[in-house]
Amino acid sequence: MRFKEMASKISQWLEESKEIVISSRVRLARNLADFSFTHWAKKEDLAAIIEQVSKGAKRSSYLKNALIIDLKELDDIDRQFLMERHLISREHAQGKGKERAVIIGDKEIISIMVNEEDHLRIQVTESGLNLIEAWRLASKIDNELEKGLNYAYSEKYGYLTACPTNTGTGLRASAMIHLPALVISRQINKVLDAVSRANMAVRGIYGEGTQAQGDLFQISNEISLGESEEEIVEHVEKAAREIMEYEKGARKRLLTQLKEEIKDSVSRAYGTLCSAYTISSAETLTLLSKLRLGASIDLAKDIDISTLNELLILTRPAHLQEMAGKKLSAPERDVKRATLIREKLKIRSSNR
Amino acid sequence: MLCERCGKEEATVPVIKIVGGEFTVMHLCDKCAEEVTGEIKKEIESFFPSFPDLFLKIFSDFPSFHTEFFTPFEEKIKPPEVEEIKCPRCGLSYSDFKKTFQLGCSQCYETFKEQLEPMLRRIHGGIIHKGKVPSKVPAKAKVPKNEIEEMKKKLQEAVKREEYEEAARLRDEIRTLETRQKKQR
Ligand SMILES: [Zn+2]
Ligand SMILES: [Zn+2]
Repeated sequence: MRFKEMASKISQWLEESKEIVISSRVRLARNLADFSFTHWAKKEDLAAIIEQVSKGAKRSSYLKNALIIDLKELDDIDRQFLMERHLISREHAQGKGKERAVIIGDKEIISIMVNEEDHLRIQVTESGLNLIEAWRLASKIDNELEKGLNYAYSEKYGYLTACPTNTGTGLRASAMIHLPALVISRQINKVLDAVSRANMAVRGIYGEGTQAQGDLFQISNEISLGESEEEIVEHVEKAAREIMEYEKGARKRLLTQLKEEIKDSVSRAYGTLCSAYTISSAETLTLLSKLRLGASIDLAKDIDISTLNELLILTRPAHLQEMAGKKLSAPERDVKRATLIREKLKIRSSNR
Repeated sequence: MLCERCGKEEATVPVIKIVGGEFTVMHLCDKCAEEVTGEIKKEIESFFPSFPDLFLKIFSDFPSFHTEFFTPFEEKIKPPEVEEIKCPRCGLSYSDFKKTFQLGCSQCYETFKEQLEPMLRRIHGGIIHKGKVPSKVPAKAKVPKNEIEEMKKKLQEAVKREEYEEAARLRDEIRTLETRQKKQR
């Protein structure tokens, strides 16, 4: 385990986020023309790709102080830790023994997965709803990297990717949205249905499949070919903004129609989080979601949303283990998690 | 290959999950495949009872995956011949592609063009890139002149057959390609 220091703090883009749309992310898929795609390439080719991309990164003005990490050398907890911080994908964390790396820029805004499904997956994450900015930065990094790399590109199909679902722009624009009021008022299905009809994909952030714990959802484009990057980014922004308006409307209605009930559920969530001595990750997500809702509709005015954002990540299994500096069993993690939550919420109230 | 889930039995079934446009392929044994698809289905049904298909498509076996993604594009050529097409550069065969839904190299886009184009159209709606152009486009990446001529022929045929939707689409695609080529000169 090697991320003890990093594990006690969350990334700035998340800490600063107070909105319904928590974060915006743009991902560009790129491949090097001279090699087979990752799953079909020889081991020595994969090593050569990591070397070329690392060299390119070192020349880039955006990645001067970047961390280049060989995932092969990390243990399972370290890799899960990077996944919990959204720096690498689940697939990248799990690939066994394969030559693969991640390049992490300043403040964890930029991360480049090397030898994931594609040779490069350039990711940029911004706070709040800010896909346009994320796309601009990703494109600038892409321009710099391109100088030293020979991208697989066709005038007809655009950037060539391993899977035909990413061909063209190689772009996936996504927004992470917190939708507790739509979930409580059972309108979430209607909204998600409308979104998917507009060629967008929606899924829960936490939990396998679509079991959305913590009322956190991700919306993203499904089409990457035949539309320009600006058009794709604009479509996702527009959809995210619409969902945000629905959520605001639902919150307003909750406040007028169910004020006592919501107040009760927010205070109970606070009570449990402040007093539990053992708590599961699923229950934590559920309660944090309620508290975050309370904090944003002035039912829990003294709760700082950045503390809740912090707890969202710090209470994940690999973060708890990195902080402890050792492997913990699930019951041990539940105790550690409860302790951490009590401490963080106490610090907050004694500061007042 | 051993099952990716239990690591004990021989993997016999590829399970392809599509979540948010991201494909994940797991190679599983019979028993695990059944368990996994059952779990996923239950999860979806409990969460989105009215429209499970929009969020996750599971192909627990070749036949259904085949029907969804491949059959419509194989009508022109008899399956055994398609299966045997191999990319001269990377050696990936069409049947390899079907197993993982991953191409082998950039040349594969040319090798499997006949099968791939209708597939791209089905996934994305279009097949002509409209976005970013790298600062250096190698000569190899350019669209050959005869390809545009071929598209123009197809356009005329579509008009003759009174397939106006198809014709309009081809017209737009030809236009996009021609303007880009003019810009670069
Ligand atoms: Zn198994
Ligand atoms: Zn190939």
